[in-house]
Amino acid sequence: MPAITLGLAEVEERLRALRRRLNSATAQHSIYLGASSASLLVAAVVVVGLRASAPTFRLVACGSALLAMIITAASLGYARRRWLDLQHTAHLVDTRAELTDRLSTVVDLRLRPRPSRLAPVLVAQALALGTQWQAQRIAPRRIPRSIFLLVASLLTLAATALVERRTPPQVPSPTTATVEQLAALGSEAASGTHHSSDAQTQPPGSARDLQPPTALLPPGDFPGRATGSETGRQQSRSLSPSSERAESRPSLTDRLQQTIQYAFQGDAPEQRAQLASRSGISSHHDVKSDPDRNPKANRGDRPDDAAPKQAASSGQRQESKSGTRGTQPQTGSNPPQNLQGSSPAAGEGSNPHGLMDPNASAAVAGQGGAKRFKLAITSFLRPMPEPAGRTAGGGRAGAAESGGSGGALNERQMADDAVRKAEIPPEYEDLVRRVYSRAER
Amino acid sequence: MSTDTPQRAVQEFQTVFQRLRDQLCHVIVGHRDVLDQILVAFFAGGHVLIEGVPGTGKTLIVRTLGEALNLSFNRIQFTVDLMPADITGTRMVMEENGRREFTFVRGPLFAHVLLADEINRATPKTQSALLEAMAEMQVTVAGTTYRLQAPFFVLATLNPIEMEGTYPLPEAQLDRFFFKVVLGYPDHADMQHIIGSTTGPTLPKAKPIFAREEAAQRVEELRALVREVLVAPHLEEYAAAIVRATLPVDSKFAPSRTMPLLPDEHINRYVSFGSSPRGGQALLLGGKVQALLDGRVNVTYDDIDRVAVPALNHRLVLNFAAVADGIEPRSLVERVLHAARRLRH
Repeated sequence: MPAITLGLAEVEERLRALRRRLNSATAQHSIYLGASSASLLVAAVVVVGLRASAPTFRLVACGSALLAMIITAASLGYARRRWLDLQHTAHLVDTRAELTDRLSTVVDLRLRPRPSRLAPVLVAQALALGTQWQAQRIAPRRIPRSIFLLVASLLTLAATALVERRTPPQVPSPTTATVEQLAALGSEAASGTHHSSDAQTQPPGSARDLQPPTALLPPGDFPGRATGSETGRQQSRSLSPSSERAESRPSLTDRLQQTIQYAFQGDAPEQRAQLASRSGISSHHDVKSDPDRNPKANRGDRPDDAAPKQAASSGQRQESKSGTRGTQPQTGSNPPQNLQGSSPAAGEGSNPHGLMDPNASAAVAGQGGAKRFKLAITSFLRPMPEPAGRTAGGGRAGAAESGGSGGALNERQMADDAVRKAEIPPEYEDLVRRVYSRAER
Repeated sequence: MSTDTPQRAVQEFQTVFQRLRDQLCHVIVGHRDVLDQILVAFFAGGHVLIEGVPGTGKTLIVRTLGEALNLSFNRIQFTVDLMPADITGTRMVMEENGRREFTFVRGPLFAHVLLADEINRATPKTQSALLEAMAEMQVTVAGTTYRLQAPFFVLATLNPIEMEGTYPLPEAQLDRFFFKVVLGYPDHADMQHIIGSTTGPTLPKAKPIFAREEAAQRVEELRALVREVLVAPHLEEYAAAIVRATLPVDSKFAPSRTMPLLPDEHINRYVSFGSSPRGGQALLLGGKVQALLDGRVNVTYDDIDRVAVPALNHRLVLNFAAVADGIEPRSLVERVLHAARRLRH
């Protein structure tokens, strides 16, 4: 019967088009629901990572991962359940267009051919009612409304960038870390050969050097939640290679939380900027990756490896570990800070009293304060000859000797606002530079 | 696409059905639902059991149907002493051309439309004489099988009162009836109409819609058309699920425990035996007639639901608990239908 065959083919073609449209909507709906749920979960993880403690974050991260898997499975199951074959499409169209199972019966005619002289009538009726089952009427939307849910969830995810990290009770200054790193390195130099060999074998720009300061902390402890004394101890502990090996590696959730905090709050660049303002170098990354921006590398004034060994023989290590406090010239609006942990215990200034006194800074401030402080470390660092170009060029050291900071700066230092405004004794600057260049190596 | 002939057949079916209904309604006052169910069963090729109190027009309905269709019509008044041979016919010694021989004399069963009045007053032996005729349209007498003329339509009546001296129909007999319809008392307006129209000088009389020589053939054509109505597979599944749902769970005759419908608590409590597959056949065939009446050539859920109660209520064998609690089979079927709505996709 060619007539009924043509009619059947036309009905089936229309049904196939509807099936594609409906299945597309189902797939989109499933994807949108899954993506919306995933976005909301990520937003929750980010917020918790920024605001909550590490155990809470760990719990939420694991729960979110589990929930994401469940949602993915549910989305797939939803799509699988709603996925239509031709017969189900016909039945759905019958229901929506009120065709009283005509299309289902027509499709069944193709699957189970039965002799019936009423079949052409049925096909003709189905085609005559074609306006009732047009695609625009059966599935009016090509894109389901759940896309709005996806947009809303993405906006929610974007809004997490506005969530502030929980305010830490006391944030240790990067300068503290720098000085304590200095002290720790001094301690390493004094501790023996294996420490120095560690320092020697550690390549410049290694993972430890590239890690932000918080990454050096034990898992679950962050500077923002630790007290000042705890932070000092933890940093001292973390900076010691032996204690660092003793600590377990940060778990995946801790790294994720740190990454979230860096990504959304930008702690590391800020700290690097502060560090650069103190030391005159931009950052570990920048120094390593761009040789042109590393003046030390160009000048070749890296400290000799023998210097820490000399420092080890000077007997200063015990004093360094005792937590000597000292005053430090403050720049900008940074208030004077008490430095804890190991630090070089030598120096001179306008008021040499109280160098080894924990209350020195208060005492000095009460006496009118020292306008200038000169740190001279002669006990464990080998004197380094000044580069010819630097001496001849009237660099920062020469300017400092002739009256402190504010002297002639090179072009790069002039470009650095923090360095330009800083009042850092040249000896201290050289010391920091050598230590950093040693750590990088 | 040339669909004139089938389309015209569908329209003719609707026309015949409507004319037949009009003729019945011209004589029978009220009971339109009952008349429709009787006509549906007739065109589906089934037999109807009418249960009703005396004087409600049972016999009149059957006689009017025969007259309207212009088909042969016989009536058997079932009594206790009625014998099977009185129904089917018997072999009698007949003399022909000076020679005596047994000749089969056909009984009242040999007609197109048969009224078995008060069938429950005959003995089971006589009642069973109808079994073969109703199921297979043939009778066997003295080892010889005689075919009945098509169409063959039995319309039996039951008197629910005066139960003394009656013999309830065996289940096998009941299962042969396509529908069982209940004929109640007419309402006040219909009663007034009946009284007025039947006490005048002339009684209303049905006009035949077919010529006598073509009536049987036309009816057979319409019955064949009914069987060509298409049914989607999910509707066959629906009908089967309804039939299966009438079976109690603890029935030892229900081997499979996998049922698309959860067993109803009332079914388990009150039903001893559920419907047979004949119930499912009645659902689909009745649904096909309903579809044609609506101008469709395919069956829908509603078509099946509309014929479910008359098709299934006499196939449920209730236990003593149901009798004690006054449970009607109709209510049980309706519960099954309500549960089956879940199967509608």
